[in-house]
Amino acid sequence: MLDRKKLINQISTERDQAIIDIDDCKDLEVLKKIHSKYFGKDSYLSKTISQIKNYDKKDKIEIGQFSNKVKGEIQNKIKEKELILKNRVFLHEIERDIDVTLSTNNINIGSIHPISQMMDNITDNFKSFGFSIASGPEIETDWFCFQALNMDIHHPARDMQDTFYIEENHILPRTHTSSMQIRTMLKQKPPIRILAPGKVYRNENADSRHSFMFYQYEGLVIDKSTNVSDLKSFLTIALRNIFENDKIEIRFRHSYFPYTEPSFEVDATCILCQGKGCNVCSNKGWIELLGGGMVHPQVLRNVNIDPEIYQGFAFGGGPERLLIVKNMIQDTRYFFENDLRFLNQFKQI
Amino acid sequence: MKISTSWIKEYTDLPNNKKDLYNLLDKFAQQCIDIDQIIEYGEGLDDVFVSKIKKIINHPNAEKLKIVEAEIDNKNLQIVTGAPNIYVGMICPLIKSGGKLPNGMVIEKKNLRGIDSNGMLCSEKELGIGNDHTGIMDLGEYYSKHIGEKISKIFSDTIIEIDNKIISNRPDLFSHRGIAREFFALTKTKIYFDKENKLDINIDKDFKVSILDKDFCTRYLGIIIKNVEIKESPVWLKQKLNRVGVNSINNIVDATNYIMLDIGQPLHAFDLDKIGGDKSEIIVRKAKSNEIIETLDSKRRILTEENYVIANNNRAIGIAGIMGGKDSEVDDNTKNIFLESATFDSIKIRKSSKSVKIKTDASIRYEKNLSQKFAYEGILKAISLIKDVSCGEEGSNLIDIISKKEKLNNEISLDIKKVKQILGIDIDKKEILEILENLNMEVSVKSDILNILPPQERKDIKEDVDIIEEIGRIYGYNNIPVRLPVYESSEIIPNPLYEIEKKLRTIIAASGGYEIKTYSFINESLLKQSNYELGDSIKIINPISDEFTHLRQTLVPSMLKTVNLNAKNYDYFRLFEIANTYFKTKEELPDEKLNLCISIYSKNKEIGTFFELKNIIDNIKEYLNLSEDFNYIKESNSEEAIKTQSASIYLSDTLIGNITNVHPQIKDNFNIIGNLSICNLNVDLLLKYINKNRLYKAISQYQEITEDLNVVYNKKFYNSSQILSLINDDNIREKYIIDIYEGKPLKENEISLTVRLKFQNFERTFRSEEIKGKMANIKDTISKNNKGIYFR
Repeated sequence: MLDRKKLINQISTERDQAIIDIDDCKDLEVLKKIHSKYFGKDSYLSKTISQIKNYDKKDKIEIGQFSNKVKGEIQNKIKEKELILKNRVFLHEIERDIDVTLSTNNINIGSIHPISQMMDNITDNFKSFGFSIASGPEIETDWFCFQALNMDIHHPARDMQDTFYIEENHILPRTHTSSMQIRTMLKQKPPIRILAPGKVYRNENADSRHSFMFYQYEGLVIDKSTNVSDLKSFLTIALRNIFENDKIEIRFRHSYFPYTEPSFEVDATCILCQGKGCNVCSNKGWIELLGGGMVHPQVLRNVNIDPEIYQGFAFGGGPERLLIVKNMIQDTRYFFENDLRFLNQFKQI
Repeated sequence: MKISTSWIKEYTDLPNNKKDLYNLLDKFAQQCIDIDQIIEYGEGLDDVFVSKIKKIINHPNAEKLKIVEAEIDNKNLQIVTGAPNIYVGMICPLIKSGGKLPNGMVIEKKNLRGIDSNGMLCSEKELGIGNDHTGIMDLGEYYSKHIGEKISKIFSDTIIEIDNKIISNRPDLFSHRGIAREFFALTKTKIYFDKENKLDINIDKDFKVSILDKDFCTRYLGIIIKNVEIKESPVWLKQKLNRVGVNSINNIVDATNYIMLDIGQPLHAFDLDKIGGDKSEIIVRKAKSNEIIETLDSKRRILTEENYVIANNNRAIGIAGIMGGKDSEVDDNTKNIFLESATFDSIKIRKSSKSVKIKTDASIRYEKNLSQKFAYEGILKAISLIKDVSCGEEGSNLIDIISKKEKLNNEISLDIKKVKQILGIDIDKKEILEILENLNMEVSVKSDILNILPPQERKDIKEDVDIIEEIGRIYGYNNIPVRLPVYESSEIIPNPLYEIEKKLRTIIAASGGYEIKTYSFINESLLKQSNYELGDSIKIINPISDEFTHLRQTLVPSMLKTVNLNAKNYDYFRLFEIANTYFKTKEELPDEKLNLCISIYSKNKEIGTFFELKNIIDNIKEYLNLSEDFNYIKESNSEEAIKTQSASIYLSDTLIGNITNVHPQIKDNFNIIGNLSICNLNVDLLLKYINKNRLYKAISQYQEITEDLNVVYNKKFYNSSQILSLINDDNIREKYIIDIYEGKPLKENEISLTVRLKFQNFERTFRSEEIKGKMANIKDTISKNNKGIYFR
């Protein structure tokens, strides 16, 4: 066992060494090692302190006080150094100048097709009104697509010039989603509230406004009390949401469809000119967006719903039409060309 | 169809002021018939006046010119003209020098070879109200009372062009008289009925008519008019037709066209002497198969049994209700005519017109189910008009055969409460009655029940809702307020396939995919290009073009086409489509399977599109929360595949789809250079594997220890998922590949995988010796049981 003086000398030497180590240290990692060298379980100071109990009381106090003082000194020194080193690191990082106008394009998110976006927008709206989303076959029988909808065998829409056929006058790619009215009413008892989105097909040559394949959404409500005013209200709210414009008004224009009575074309305030009249609305201030009406009693009878008890309304339109108006798209053919230069103008997921 | 508002004014009052008229037309378009466009006829005629030629003398210095003195404002104006058809007393249009023609041309005061000309006499073409430019427009004596007046006052008109589609159930609206009724319902002004035309003929001569198909021809009226003088129609008649876009032919044809436009009844005039004279017989019958007739448009038509003809004893002289025959046409030499006005079955006319591929103004009207009443009214009005314009006279009694009585409209009872029930608004009973009466319906009232008899021509009105529509539109839908509907809540029926489709779109778009939408129809050559066969693809019997002949069974060919399109502009992209594919079944309808097709294209061959694509598919598993991992079994079951670079994708034992690098031959077929990987998934099958619950897993609070394992295997005997499945220890929380290496110093076919293992449990932190032990154990077990696997 060393005598007190020698021990104190050794502790001083240890301290001097520590100060040299700390002064020489230029790196935070090294500083951590220095810390464990002087304060770790196996360090000289720890070992020394563990031996203090062997000294007599007076020495014990003196060695103890001294070694605590040394420990404090080293610790302070390390803290000081740590501050200096950290500041140096911070400064290094801070001093790096960047050109904030530069960018990378490492994060590449794709996009949902604009038609799907619009369809989601429509279905979300009607879901919030308590409508269910209905789906059904694209290839239909003439009964679901025409006959049950009060369009008898002589109806012009059933011409081969207008409708594609798989089997003449019998199996066909549906010409409208209205077939979903029939499928739903046969499957489900009233009250009914559905929105049916889907693809439809018509034998029309493609031009800037027509395509032989396009999309439709079909709404149907059957209940004991539903009326034209309800239809007008639902459509007004939905269109205001879709176009994100509270000022939109709609108007019903008298029209004729075999499966509704009364029947309407539905116009909305031209969103571009707010109804003042412009090129887009041919100076009318209104643009035609969809069709609708009260379900014809004959249609209800065809699906065994009693028109004396139940009545309802139906409406239908194309999401492409809404997109054309909302985004001022000039040509409907873009939707099915799938040119990324078009699709990436409407990024949304 | 074009409608002249000045013609409408013969039946009801319309505003004279343009602004008021346009407001009314706007209302009409919303509540009656949509207007495609409004055309101002005879615009820019403010400087043209009606004048009368008083004196004509030859020009002293020019052989072809004449000096005319024309009366206007009780003064005579001197004009030099070269027109060939002028005569003293002619009533014609005149423009004074300084005035402007509709085409913008200003008429200058001129000196023509020494004589002053102070204006110009005009042809109808110069006025923009006709095509004739051979001479000065001869207005005729009819207009002598207008001398000095602006010609615009006589000829200008607001023409509306309406959409025929909306009135396809309204035969009564294919006429000016019918449309006037609609205007009257809106304006509630006045309606001027035709005076009840009476016919007082007493000639002891009948003309024989036989109707062989009584279901086809339900009423036939006819009369001989003799000693007609065929000539140009008077200006008023020509102008009336011209305004609504009908060409003037001669006075007889123009008169029949006029009646059709006026009251909606098609009529036809035959040259009596060409059909066998007054001893002949008219027969209405089915056409014989391959019967031939040359129609008025000089085309030879071969008929079928779908057609009906008007015939005499030896031949067809017209296709009934569609077009007359050439060899019985009224021409300049015609002396006597037989005038026909008939009612034909609408459906049979439609079939006949379709089969012979002729649509005429007559057939369009007959297709709409005209009332027999019109045939009678039409011929009466026509007889008096023809006599008027051709100086002819009746040459027979009026023949009127009703072979089948028209079904009369039923009385409809309407409970006034139902009006509110359907429209959602209260309309005053008095107002309802006024609307219905203005629409020419007979109404009797018993407290809240109205008994309504629609006019016979309104065959579209069959039940109470039809009446409510009339009330609603004339009352004005604009008066229906918007308020939030109150509904009892009802059950929402879930649609899982629709929801999964929506989620897939989001997941793949978030992974960099662009959604595309291609046509459901495809053709054999596109399939061949993609190495697919037509097989039992469903055929469309009337395709729009050779490009779209069949329903598709795969989304791949259209995807390849889209990749080709975009590879021209982009070096790298990811595309996807979710759409149905169609398969024949034993049932009536095909089976429609919802498919997902994803592709990744990279021009740079270094980029491993296959594994990127796999990454997306595995993301689908995570984000849809499928209960199973996708299993990739190396085999090529798709036509576009490279055998050595493709896999079938399974969810447990169910084949869900496939993934592949696209065969270089197919890439070449589509001019695609670079890497292209495609996968197909059957979305319907995914549904079954969606795990609706996500149960929370506890997170250990103890430190996790990470170790990397380098394992080498021969790819001829093993694959990476087998290797991963061999690495087992109860305390491995997670294991995944972080590096793949092939090449020296490894042997051929050897692959080195670096697998990262994360050890953790819920009791304590593992000591390093324990981990070392576990790693050694893993290696030993693998080496012992599997040949050819070693560790680096």
